[in-house]
Amino acid sequence: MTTTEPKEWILDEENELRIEIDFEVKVKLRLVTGTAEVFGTELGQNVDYEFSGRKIAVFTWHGCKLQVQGTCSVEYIANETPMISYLNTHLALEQRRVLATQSNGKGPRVLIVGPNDVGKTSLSKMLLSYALRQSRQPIYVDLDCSEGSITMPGCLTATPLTEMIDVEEGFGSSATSAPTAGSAVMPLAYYYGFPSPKDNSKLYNLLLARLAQSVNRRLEEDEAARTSGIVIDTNGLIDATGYELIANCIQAFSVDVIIVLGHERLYSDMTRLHQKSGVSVIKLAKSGGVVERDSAFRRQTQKQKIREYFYGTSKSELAPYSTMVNYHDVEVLRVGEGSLAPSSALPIGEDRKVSETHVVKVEPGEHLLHSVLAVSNADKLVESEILETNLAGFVYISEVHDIRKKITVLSPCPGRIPKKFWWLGSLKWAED
Amino acid sequence: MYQHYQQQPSQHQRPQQPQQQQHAMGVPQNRGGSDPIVTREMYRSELASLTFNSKPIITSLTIAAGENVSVSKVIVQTIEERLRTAPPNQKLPTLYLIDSIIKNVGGPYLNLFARTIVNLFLDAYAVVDSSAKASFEKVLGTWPNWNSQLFPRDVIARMERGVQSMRQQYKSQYQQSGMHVNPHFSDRPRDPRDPRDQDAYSQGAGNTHRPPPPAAAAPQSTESSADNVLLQDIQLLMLQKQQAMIMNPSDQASAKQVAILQQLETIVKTTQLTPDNANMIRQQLAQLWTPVPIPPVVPGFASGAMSQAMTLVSSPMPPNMMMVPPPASLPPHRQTPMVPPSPAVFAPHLLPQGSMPSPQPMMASLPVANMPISNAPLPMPPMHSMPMNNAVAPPQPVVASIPPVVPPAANSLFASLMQSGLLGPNGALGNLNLAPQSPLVPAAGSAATATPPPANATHDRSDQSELDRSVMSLGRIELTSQDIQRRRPAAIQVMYGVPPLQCNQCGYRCPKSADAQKKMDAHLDWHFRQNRRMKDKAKKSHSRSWLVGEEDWIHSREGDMGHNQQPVFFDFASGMTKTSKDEMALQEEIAALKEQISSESSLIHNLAVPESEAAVIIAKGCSVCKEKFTKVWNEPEEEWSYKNATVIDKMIYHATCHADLVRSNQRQAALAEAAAAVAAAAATASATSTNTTNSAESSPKDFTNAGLSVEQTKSEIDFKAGNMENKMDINTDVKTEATEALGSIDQEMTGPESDAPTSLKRKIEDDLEAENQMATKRAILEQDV
Repeated sequence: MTTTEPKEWILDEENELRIEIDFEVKVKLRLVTGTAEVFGTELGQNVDYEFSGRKIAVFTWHGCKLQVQGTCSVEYIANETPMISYLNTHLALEQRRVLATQSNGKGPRVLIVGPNDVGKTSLSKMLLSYALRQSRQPIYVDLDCSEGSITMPGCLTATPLTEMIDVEEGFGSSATSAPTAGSAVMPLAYYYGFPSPKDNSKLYNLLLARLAQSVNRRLEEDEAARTSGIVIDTNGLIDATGYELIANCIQAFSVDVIIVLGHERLYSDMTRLHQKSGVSVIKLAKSGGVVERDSAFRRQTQKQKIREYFYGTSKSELAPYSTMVNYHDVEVLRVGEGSLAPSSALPIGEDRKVSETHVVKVEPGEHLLHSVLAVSNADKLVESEILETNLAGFVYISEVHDIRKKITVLSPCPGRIPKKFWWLGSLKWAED
Repeated sequence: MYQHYQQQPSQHQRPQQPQQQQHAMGVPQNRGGSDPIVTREMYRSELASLTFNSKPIITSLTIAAGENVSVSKVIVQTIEERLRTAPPNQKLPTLYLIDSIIKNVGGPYLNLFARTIVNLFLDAYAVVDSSAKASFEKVLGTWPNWNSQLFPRDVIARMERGVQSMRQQYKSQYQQSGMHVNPHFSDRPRDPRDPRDQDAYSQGAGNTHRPPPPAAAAPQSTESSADNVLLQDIQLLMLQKQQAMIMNPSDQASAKQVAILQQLETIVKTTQLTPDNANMIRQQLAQLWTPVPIPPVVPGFASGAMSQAMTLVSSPMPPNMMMVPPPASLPPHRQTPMVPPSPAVFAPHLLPQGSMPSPQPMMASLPVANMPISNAPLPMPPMHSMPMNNAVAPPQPVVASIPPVVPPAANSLFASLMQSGLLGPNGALGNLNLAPQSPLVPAAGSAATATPPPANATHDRSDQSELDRSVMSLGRIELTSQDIQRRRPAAIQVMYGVPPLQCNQCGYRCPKSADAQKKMDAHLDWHFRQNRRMKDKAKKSHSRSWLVGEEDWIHSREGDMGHNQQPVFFDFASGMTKTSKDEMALQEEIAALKEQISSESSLIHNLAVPESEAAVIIAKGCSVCKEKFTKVWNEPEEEWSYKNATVIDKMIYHATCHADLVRSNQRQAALAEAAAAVAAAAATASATSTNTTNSAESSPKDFTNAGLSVEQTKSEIDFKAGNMENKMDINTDVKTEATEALGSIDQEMTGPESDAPTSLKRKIEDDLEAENQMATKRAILEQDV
């Protein structure tokens, strides 16, 4: 990194410094005076935070002085933010939590919907972060299968949060033995394996129901989580399929607060469809800082996510473990019949629904090279069950020796890979 | 035999009984054609129910293990997996199961567990809590001196060393020079060898309460400690009043009281009180206590701000209506439970030998008969047993039968303070009578130890209610699109103002509460350890772990890991896991090496024939190569053994020769299959392949006792079979039979041994040659038999 003079920014009350950092660049951020927060997590004074490949907003309620060292592709101060409404939303939720604690009831179950690129994940992060700052223990449910905030893309996850969200690492990722500054979280993950819920909505709904069932069972036992409630982040799907998913989600998690982010029509539809006694629908403006992430950026983020899973971040490096596995020791599975043909490509009257949740065995071979496979926790192959079995983790196929019928697999930790059923999705990744 | 399995609580007994029968029938007792996969499934599901220390389950699993010796490898794998994946609080029962199996079944299980027990034991030991750690040590302690040898000495020694070093590592964490030791931690994970801790252990209250301060042990210092008690009383009371003020700013009475208390605090701090003065002050204080909402019988009730406010506004409760302190937080052997000192509990030590009028009637009216537990006569003078009885008594009877006493106004305290000359007429510090102190204050004797309230759930809630109050003070925010747009100046204060303590290494803020500083210290210590470990990271490598199963996720709590409550312990534990994980990769390599070594020194008693015959057989040398065996001293077993010797089907081989033999058998089979040219060749092939399968199947059954060497050979055969079949596309029947009979291959085994494929022609030549050799060898073998 070049040792350029750090750039100083002075922010007035309720202003926001927005910076975008490329993937190859590292930028250090430091709060010199005042207070500031990044997606709800407060920054410490005179602590260096390092970012790479991120688009972040540093907001201050009281005004502050910041130092930025390194080259950002975009950097500017904005003085119009929807932060007041975000904070009020949090406080309203917090009041519900207080009441829930007193009545031993359930905390708010919040569903965040909106089109792509309106800051749904950032808002969830903020609401969760605020809740954590008030000693709550909410559960974060991530239904956005394209991103994979906690584990990997292609998953539906639920994660109980107990400690503050790390500024640099975001939600942090599943438990490591490394001394991460953030918390080691223990997500419950189910494998969907497609980038959009539309790709196999039958499976998506199946997993959604299963995830909700598990979360509800945990809430029954976990008092702190029950009163703290859940925050559900969704995929940016707002067409007919999206509405159906939202309806399923509301029912499965007994959602009582729907936040519509940055979409008027969706807000009016949601109000019409779902507002009834006990369910609040509110709209929030999207932050001006939200930028559209092009597919290249999303792919990069995905890559970074996969890399982090195995190798960790520069702050806490992880050592994955490479091991050889015989073809016949694993069963590679995928859902659906080969690659699903779009309905329009099928003969008229033909219904492909039957095969959507069909489990197909895949012969290992060269085609697995560079794939990221999800290791199922299942011990036996029962079609109805294995689909709904949660994941033990992920492996990466780094080499295929077709002649010797072996594959070289990158596993997150040393030792035998615990389970033999591996899901094949569309995730590919070329290790650098 | 099951000395450490506790009798399970009776409510578990009923559902358990039928389950036990199920266990016995559930696990297939297939001594003959065992199906490892089925067994694994059955055993796994039974094992999953072992979530608490249940003797019936352990017994039935032990019996099942005994009946399925033929698939012992699978069972051991299943148990190992369970021990690794079970949440920390469920690891102990699994260890008990291992203990039970090795002691009661033994046989092949000893060798199988011996291979992995060190890592298994230490990894589990590192993450369990301190009481389970003690149990782990207890179990380990029974192993070396068991009637029969359970594990080789070096194995046990390694475990003992590991346990030792973990304890030391923990200790050294505190001995770091200059490191701040937070009292909050210092009594967390205790070292049983530490005399102080031993004391706490023996008292049985060590887990939640710090050891009594020296004052308790030294009665001669009661004078000063009595003052300390008084001081703490005052401070606690002040805290309570301050909270009341925050809650209800219009509460003038509280405000006044706080001011008086502050003065009082200064006085007590700066002057030496006469016993009389001290007693009087205490007495007055006792009457100032007002209800602190602590969750009473109904959980979740009255813990938040709303109910607090309600309580305050609606009914100025007499002090003795105050709830009884939460039993859990009271050390039964302590004299002065501090949280929250309700008069009933508080009074005894405040009572200066019957001289005070106002508490007296209250004491007298204590309906002892209504307290189910206390059947001691009503103690008029302070009795040691008194607080204890009160502490465990349910609150309602006390509340119901005590006539309400009007809380004395703060003024009366003020007045009496002035009267006694502690305060001047205008509240200033007056002429304090510095009378020579009497050596012993009667009341103080029983009030010697005041413990700060332990940081437990009760306190977390009071933090929470503090936060809750500030949130609720904003007025109700409607979840409507309009209301959430409104600017509320106080809102930001809620996020930034209320938690005033902030960490300077990150943005963490600590909620305001009595132990805020303590929490912040804990947080800083956590940073310190993080940072230190970050520095060490070059030396150690870390990995991501596998995710837990669905059921474990539902039932586990982050709290289980002691995240907040026991930061030191948790970090210490994870630190250990780390080290052991680093070691794991290394250990695995070592294990592989070890296996080889142990096969090279496999024991002569494996040869299941009388010793005299054995000598003859051994003298003949390897059945394949006819070379003599080299005699070596086997250090861990302390026996003479033969290098590289293995016994299969009552024949003695070099392990390597036998592996070659099996391989060539299979190669032949495969070759025949592949060529499939000559009918005669095909016949030979089927014959040999059956042969292979038979030998593979029979070896685990007949020679499970043979130990590691057989294990080794088995896996070798297995893996080579795999190899073969990969290369030459062997008849699938042979493949599945062979592999299923042997269980799955350890993946680690396959890596290094894979050899580069040679051309088919070369192979055919080799195999023909091998076939010829085989034929001669077979002839010789038959002769020998």
